[in-house]
Amino acid sequence: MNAAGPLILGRGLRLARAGKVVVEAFDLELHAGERLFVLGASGTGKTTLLHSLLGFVPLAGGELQLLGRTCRSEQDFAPLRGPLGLLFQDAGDQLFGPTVAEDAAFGPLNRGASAAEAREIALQTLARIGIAHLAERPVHALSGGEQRLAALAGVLAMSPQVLLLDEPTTGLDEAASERLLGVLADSGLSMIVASHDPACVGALATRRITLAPAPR
Amino acid sequence: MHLAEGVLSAPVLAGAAALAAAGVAFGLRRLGEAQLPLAALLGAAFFVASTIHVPVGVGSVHLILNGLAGLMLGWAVFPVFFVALLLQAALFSFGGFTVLGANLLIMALPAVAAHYLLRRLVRPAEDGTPPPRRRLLVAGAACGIVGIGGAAALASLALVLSGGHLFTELIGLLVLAHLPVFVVDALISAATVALLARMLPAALAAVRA
Amino acid sequence: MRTALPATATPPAPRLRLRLGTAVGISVLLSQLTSPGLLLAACAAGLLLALAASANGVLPLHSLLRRIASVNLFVAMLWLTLPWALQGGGPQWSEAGAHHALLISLRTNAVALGCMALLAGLDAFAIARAAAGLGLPSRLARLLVLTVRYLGVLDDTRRRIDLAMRARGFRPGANRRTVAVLAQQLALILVHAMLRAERVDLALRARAFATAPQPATRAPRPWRWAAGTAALCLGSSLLWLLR
Ligand SMILES: Nc1ncnc2c1ncn2[C@@H]1O[C@H](COP(=O)(O)OP(=O)(O)OP(=O)(O)O)[C@@H](O)[C@H]1O
Ligand SMILES: [Mg+2]
Repeated sequence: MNAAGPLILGRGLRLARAGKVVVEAFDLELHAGERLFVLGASGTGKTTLLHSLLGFVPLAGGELQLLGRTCRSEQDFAPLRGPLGLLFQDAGDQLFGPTVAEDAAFGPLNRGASAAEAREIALQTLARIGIAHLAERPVHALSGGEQRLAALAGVLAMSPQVLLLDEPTTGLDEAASERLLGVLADSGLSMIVASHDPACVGALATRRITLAPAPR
Repeated sequence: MHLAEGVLSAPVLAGAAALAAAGVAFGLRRLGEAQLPLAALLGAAFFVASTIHVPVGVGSVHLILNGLAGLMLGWAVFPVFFVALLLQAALFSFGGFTVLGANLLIMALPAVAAHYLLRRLVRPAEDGTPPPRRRLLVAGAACGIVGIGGAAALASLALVLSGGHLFTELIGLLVLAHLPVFVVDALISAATVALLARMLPAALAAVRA
Repeated sequence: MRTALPATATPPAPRLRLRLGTAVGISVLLSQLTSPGLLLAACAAGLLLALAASANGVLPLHSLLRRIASVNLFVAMLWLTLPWALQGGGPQWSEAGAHHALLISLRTNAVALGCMALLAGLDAFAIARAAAGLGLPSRLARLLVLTVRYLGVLDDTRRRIDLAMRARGFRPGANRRTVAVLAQQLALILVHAMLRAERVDLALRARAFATAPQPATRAPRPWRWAAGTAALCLGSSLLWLLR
């Protein structure tokens, strides 16, 4: 992998949802150590953009390079799900349970870790972001903020190189939000963050871009 | 496991339709007005789950899960499966309207059997502790075995009653073709019952007495 | 240029009822016919009508072809077994068996094609309305409508779970891990359904459910339904005896 090149490089990206173009002629670049914020009103395609980086929304045009590799088909994207860790806008979608620790072990198990190794990784990750006490809680019995942190643990347990965060602080109170921002800043990871939250932008952003409303 | 239109003889179709109608009527009677949303949601959930592809060898199979549905729903599987089979016949040409009664019996009778045979195994204790994991796995696997095995037996019976020895080889081939589903359904039902007991013990407590 | 039409505006209720009723009627009729000539004609008519529906954009061609293929999977099994009699050592061609296989194949295809043509473009909501109009017992009709409504919700849930699992590196294959993960998907869908049922229950009670008005359908009694089935059975038995 070319260490000097950008981690993510998109040129002239065009993304469509249900046949309607949402993002047009969009250029995107993320370098190591950057925390890039994608701003834009509701419905401008922030979620669509993040999902396209994992291959969940197919490119309707343009070219995309992830970690130095050109990605077009499902086979190109599949091995990058892990190195690129996505935190979904709705954390509830992302928790598979039954318990928080088992949920965090989901990713490592997919990458071939043994049950014991996966559990070890999961518990370490939970401890790192300060929610070790939630390890044995059922995921459906968590508050909104706890859910977000548990979902983040699931992403971090895969030791990603890049984080893709979809509105990580929306709906959290100040304390929970600060805790999450602290964890993210400490992680030292490069990230692309979609957010409306000024506190989040102020605390983390090294660079910002704004998505224009969809062309009519 | 759907039999197609045009295979079964009229007396078999008529008898099955009458029995199935009785089953639906009984199931509806047991299903209180307030439980309609729950039954509809579980029915929809099983309908959606039956679209999950499980890779097997070079191909893949669809789950059937009638045993597990029976375990959770009891007699209510009759109306719930009636709805599912009606939609499948109308929207996807799986099965058909004339064989709906026969297909309903084939799917729902083993499901009801699974309910009465297995519900004691999965019910939580008085104080709410779930049964041991081993027992849950056995109950789940048995759902698959009773559900699919019973369905295969009933489908074979319907064919024998309709065409006698003419269908012997067809029955053999049908049973063979369903072996992968049989195994996969049992495995997945076992794991699912064990998971449900941990994620939402109320789901198994909903298995009514 | 023809664009993929989204579900066309739902036709009015009486038309819907007529279409579903006719589909059920021809299913009963065709599945009892024993004349290859008539059945072949029915197949041809059904195919023409289905193709016409497809040309009008109500029934996408690929979905028509997929459905024909899935129906004929069973027909293929029929031809693999029925025309062969296992006698002394090897399989022997049996004329009677072949004739039976032919009849069944024609019936299966005639019914499937006819129903596809009649029901082309109807979605689950339309089917539910039509069936309710055909005199299902009211509780069964409500179960049908509720199920259809929740199908969309839970299918969406399944899709989101699937996406989130793939985002964390899950790739299905024929292995133990896949069985465990698919069971987890199934359990999650069921848990979502149960939790939603709890919320629906609260909402119903919050709105004083006991006094909630029942939808005003013609209220067919269970005996009506039973009588209808009995008539259908009797009719088809007669057809069978008279053939
Ligand atoms: N699954 C979908 N099917 C069809 N259209 C969709 C789908 N998801 C999103 N869209 C549409 O695509 C556009 C972009 O949606 P997207 O979710 O990317 O916006 P967003 O910027 O993330 O908004 P928000 O800030 O509200 O999360 C919207 O107009 C939306 O209606
Ligand atoms: Mg969004």
